[in-house]
Amino acid sequence: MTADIFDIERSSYVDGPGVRTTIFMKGCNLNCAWCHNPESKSRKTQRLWYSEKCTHCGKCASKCQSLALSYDPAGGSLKFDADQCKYCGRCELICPNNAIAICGYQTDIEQLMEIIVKDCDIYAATGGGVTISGGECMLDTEFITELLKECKHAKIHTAIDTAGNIPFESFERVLPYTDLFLYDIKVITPELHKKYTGVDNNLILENYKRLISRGANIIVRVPMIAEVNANETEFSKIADFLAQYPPQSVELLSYHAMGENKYRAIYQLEPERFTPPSDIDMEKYKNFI
Amino acid sequence: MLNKKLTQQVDYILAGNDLLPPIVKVKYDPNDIMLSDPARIAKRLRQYILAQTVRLDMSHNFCGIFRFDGSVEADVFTRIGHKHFSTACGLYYRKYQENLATMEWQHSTANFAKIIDCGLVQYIDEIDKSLICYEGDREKAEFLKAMRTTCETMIMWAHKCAEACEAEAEKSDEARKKQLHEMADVLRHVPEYPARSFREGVQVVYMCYTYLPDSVGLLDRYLWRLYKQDIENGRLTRELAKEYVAELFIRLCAHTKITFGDAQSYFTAESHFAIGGTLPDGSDGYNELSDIIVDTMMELPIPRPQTSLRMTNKTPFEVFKKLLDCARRDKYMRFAFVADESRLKGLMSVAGIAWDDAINYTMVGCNEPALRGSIWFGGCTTNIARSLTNLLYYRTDDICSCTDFESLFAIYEEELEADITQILKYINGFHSIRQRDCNILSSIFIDGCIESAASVTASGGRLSITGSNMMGITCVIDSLSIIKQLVYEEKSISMRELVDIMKSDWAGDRGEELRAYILKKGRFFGNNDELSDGIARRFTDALWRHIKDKRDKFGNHLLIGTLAGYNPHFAEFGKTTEATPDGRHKGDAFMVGVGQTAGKDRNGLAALLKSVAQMDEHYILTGPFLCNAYLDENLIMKNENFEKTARVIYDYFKNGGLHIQLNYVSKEELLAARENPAEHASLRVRVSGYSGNFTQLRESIQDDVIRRTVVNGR
Repeated sequence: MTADIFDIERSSYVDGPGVRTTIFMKGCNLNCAWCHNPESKSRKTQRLWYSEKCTHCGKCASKCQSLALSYDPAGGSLKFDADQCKYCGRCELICPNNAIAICGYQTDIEQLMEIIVKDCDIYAATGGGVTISGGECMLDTEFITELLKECKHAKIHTAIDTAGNIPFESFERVLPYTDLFLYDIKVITPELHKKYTGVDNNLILENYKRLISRGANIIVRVPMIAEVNANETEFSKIADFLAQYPPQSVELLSYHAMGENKYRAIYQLEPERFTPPSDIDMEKYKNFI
Repeated sequence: MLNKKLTQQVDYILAGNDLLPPIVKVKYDPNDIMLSDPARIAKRLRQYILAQTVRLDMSHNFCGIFRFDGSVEADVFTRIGHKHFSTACGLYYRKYQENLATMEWQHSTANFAKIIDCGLVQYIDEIDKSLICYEGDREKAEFLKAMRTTCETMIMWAHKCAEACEAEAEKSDEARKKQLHEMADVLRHVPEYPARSFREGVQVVYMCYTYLPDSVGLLDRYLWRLYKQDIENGRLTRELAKEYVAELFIRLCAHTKITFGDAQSYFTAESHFAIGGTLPDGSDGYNELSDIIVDTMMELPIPRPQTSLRMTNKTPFEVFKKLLDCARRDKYMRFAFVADESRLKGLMSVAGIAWDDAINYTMVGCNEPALRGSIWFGGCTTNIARSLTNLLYYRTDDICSCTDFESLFAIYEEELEADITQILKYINGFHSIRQRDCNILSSIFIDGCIESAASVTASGGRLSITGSNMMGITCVIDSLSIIKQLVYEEKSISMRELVDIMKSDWAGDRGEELRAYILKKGRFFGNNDELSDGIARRFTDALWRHIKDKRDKFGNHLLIGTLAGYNPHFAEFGKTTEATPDGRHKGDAFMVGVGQTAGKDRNGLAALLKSVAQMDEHYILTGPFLCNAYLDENLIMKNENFEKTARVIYDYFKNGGLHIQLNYVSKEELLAARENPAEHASLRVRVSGYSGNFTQLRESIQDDVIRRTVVNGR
């Protein structure tokens, strides 16, 4: 059984308790405008091109074996045809300026476990474990259920980082092997949720309530964005909802623009820019919860 | 809180004033040149020491400090006045021989425990006994008599200080008068006789540090008995103990003023010491006095002394966390960490040191271990990557015929052994020059020099270890890993082609392509990857097999380190070293120590530390070992992350890690500091255990600090 992932981070401090290994799965069924991992949205392997780093030397095109890259030495222009690309990675390797990144690869349970178990002592020492993140990792229910089972077999603490837009049956399947859910609640107002993420939030909130009623351990994570939810109206709705269905804890994560350069490298377009709440506002909202 | 008098001392030295009295120049008898070396030295030492001023205006509880001026062979750390040492320095210090070796400073530590517990009277007694043993040996008798004279000189100096206190008392108000009389009482007793109180113990260190101004050693161990006794009998409070310790530390800081000569820098003293560590019965030595030392340092806004916590398997997490917390809050970066387990094994199994001596090691200088009352003959820094370039560039035909990595490694071992043999020649050569100097003053405090009637410079001490700090260890490990990966596993390139590309310094399309591949896909050390971890173990195993039975000319064993110290040896050796398979260009600097390399460790802090903790099964790298980790500052500064980082590092020490040096300034801050040094003058960063201002570092060291990857959270 294989899955598409785009990164593995060992010694992660920020994806649940303790020091953890985080597996970033590729593919998502939300389309959040502020996403800081835009390379996680598509399940397909992608080629990122950081145009500002590119010196148009043309070395990448000279290595391309699938005619996806064409180079005009006279004008120095580079053309990329995604349909032709086999994502072999030759262009990434040759690029002297690290302007190209092939994002996404297939892996299997065995390979992942080999990496995961390396840090068992660190998990034990710090109260850490494994976090499966993404993208929306729950999309690949079958794979992650197997992965979670293996982790539990190795007595490793498990966490799932999810946006929750998945039929509850999927949660049913992972529940026995999941010690903790890092559950995103972004917006309560349905229209607003639809506007910024492309999907309705009814299923997300229903799944959340059901997980709570099933006694799951949940840390709710809220991306805090001034234009979207970090304002009196929307945030009070989030706070009310969470007061009604209290999780283990709530993490408010201030919006940051570190996904922007990746967005440009994927789409060659300017991403929408948002505003993080001020430190004072963040304190205020923290006290709200 | 510091009392007014101590605050005044701190302000005084921070304003750039010298707490030590101005040097009084002495005109020696021109005919003393006719005397034997020991006799002349003892005569001059007496004249010089007794001519110095007793400064009381800036003193509080203690006095009796001064500096030497180079007119006589004084302490063995600075080797001020030691002519042959100066010659050796001129010829070899930072002058690189055959791209293989250069001379470095040597550290030594006085046995303060013995001075405190026995007093100089016992030294004189021991000298008299030794004189009987060496009856008829004129040279040795001369040496011993000179030692005896010098012991008496030191007692006379203490008495002179006492007299000065009494004279000053006559002119002082009642409170100060009482204090000065107490000081005089103390000085009439120590260092002549065993210290009776904690205060007397501190006075001994305060005064005798001048005679060997290197590490003060295990303060919390040798002062513990007196501290406990005085606390129990009510003569001492925790606050008073802090005051005494603070005054001692201010004095150490004042003494370590760095002066720059024309061609080279001379350090007037060193002030690194250790706390905690393994006690004779195997228990952990961190005690209430250790705690007082730490708290006092945190209250003192001065850059020195520095201390290392010696971690044992029994060090409580809370103690480690407290010290790590001090380390992250301390703007002077005076706190470091080393672990006992590996080091004690190295000291015993490789260097042949007995348990009772091994457990009393301290940390000294930048980051060197040193035994109590001994000298560490670690004065040879070497370029171990030369063995690698010899293999590649001079044994090309041999290695190109190797059909597997095993046979290639066997040829590498031949080159390694040849260079180790050559290194030993340099070590012995440097020894030969330096041993021609006779040292009386410090030899008294080096255990065994009285019994052997020989100068510490000639290895007269009972315990000593020789060593070499090797630059380029990671380069060798990474390069061999890349060869194994590319030539023998992936089989993507032939050995011949690889060597040809390196001879061209990665030129041409093929060269650039290969280099880009290596930098992106190379299985480098520090990633908890079995390929490179295995090569690291093989390398240290080979090192151990070729070193374990070797001795220097004095019969000392060798221990290997990775420290560069104050000097950018890693850059200097790099300059003259050809391109290497790890992607390094000809002339590029090697990385400092063992640990993070620029961009080559990709799996985070825990993986890095695992690679490091497992690399040395025979404990051969237990000399001045250095492991650098550059952390994103939020991993240590934010409280929620701090606890996790503390656990990871604690775990590393429990798993055999020997040392870690955390550098946790942001890259932006470093870049800004390089651009605007004036605005960041107080920014401190550790380089090779040396705690210094970033903006004052040599440019090559600055670059190295900035270039390293930052272990980052997402």
